[in-house]
Amino acid sequence: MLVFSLIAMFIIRVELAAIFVLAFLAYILFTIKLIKPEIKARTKEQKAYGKQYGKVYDKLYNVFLVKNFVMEDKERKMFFEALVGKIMPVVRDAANKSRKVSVTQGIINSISFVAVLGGAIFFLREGKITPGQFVMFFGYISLAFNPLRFFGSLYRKYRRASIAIKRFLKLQAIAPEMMKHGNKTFKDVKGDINFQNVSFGYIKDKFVLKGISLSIKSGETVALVGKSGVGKTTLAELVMGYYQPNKGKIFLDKTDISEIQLKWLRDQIAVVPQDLNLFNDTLINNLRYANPKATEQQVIFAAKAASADEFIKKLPKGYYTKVGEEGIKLSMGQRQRIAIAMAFLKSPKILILDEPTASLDAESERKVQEGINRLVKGKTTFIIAHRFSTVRNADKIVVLDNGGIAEIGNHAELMRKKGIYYDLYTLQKGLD
Amino acid sequence: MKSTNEFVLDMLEKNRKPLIKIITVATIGALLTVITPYVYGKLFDLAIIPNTTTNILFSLIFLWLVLSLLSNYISNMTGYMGEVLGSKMGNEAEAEAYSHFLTLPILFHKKEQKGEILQKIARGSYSLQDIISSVSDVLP
Repeated sequence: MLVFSLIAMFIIRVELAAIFVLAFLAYILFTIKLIKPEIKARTKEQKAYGKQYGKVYDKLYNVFLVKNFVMEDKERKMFFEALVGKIMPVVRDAANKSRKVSVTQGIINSISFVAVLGGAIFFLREGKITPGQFVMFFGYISLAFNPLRFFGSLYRKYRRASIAIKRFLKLQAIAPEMMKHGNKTFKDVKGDINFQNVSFGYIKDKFVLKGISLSIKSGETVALVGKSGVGKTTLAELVMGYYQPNKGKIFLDKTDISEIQLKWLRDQIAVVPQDLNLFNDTLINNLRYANPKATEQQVIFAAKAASADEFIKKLPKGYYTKVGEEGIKLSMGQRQRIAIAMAFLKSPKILILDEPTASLDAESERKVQEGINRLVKGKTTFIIAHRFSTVRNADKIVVLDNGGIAEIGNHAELMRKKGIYYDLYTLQKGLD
Repeated sequence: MKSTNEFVLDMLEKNRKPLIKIITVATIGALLTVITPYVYGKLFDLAIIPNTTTNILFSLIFLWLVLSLLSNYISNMTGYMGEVLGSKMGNEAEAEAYSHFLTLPILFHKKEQKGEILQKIARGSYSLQDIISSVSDVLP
């Protein structure tokens, strides 16, 4: 529109069109110059929004914690402080800078319109344009002004949008975790795992695990015990490829796991977590998440093996019962049995049981333990546990202390040794 | 890391077909619109000449009406196409970003606040949608 209108204006009267072009250039130059402070303010605004929304969502995700500690009123104040108190001054500043740009653009618009109008009247009185051309010319000015105004607002919009897009692109530029892994896969997995002098820390030079060397044969059950924060879960997560060791290597059947395709590696491993968050969907769909190809019979078989079938059948629609947001309609013991059933459906070669009975009552623990006993058969298993009842039967018990392996052996051997394991065991027995 | 311009151009390249359609429709609309002031300028000149026949004046008024109705229709059509393309590109970018989010290392998920990340994704994709939808207003 702008291009065609300009051509038409030049055809009608070159001088008038030239005034318009000058005004157009002034408009663009002023917009470019004045927009810089606005962009800075908008960047601050977006950062403030991101930070404050982060805080707000964090509370929303932990609604149960908020309720448990009756913090609704405190959080309400925090929401207002974050979304109004912290954000509004930044918004006001950005809006004010934006207003300055608009005012300047408006002034240029008005001055240039008056200049063109004056010129047109002059040419009309001189008889250099007809009244029809006068009307025509202003028709083209209004046609050209619209895209001009849009150009101005589009340019500002684009600069503003580019702040949000830049932040978005920064996120997109973070390398996916599989980038750090190789592409090897193999047909038959035995499940032997070897840690060779593995050290790892979340922060550079601050190691959680130091010089871990550990050999686990296929089908063996290894219990990882030790105080909280000693690195038990981290050790298991290294096998999952969640992190790369800072030093040393981990081998699966003699292949360095960093050379193995991450998706394939994780297909060989099932995790039974401390607590399972379920999707807001039917139980059967939740169970099939572990193996989308599983038939209904296979799902029921897995649930039976995990001692979950009996409680599922009692639900209003059995396997087709919808479990609520994050599975809140099920007890923790029931969710644990669902997790075990999912592990059965995945049918992995390696199992990681992350304190699966930590928060259960005696009856639930017995049922979950039954499921676990069936599940671990023939699989290389890591059990991370505080409760010694779940580790007693492990082939190997690894006691972690100060980032390293302090003791290793089976229950009887470690009890005879009367070291850390003995102390922890007798302490818990006393507590029980 | 891609710059904003590269990213927008990449997205436009991926949606080249609908973009060409919008440019074509917008060009036709602009051509029709640009004739309208010419017609009413001529109409004005003829109207002040005493011996112009009513038939000529009515013909020009009718022509002006047809042109303005057509250009109005096409301009709305361009706006509609721009909005659809903007939404499509924004949604594509959003879906891509959520998929990427799932592939990020566990350390990232432990360290970063989910709310802040989701907000970055939502704002970024909305911004892309907004600028693409607006581009049709200044075409060609």
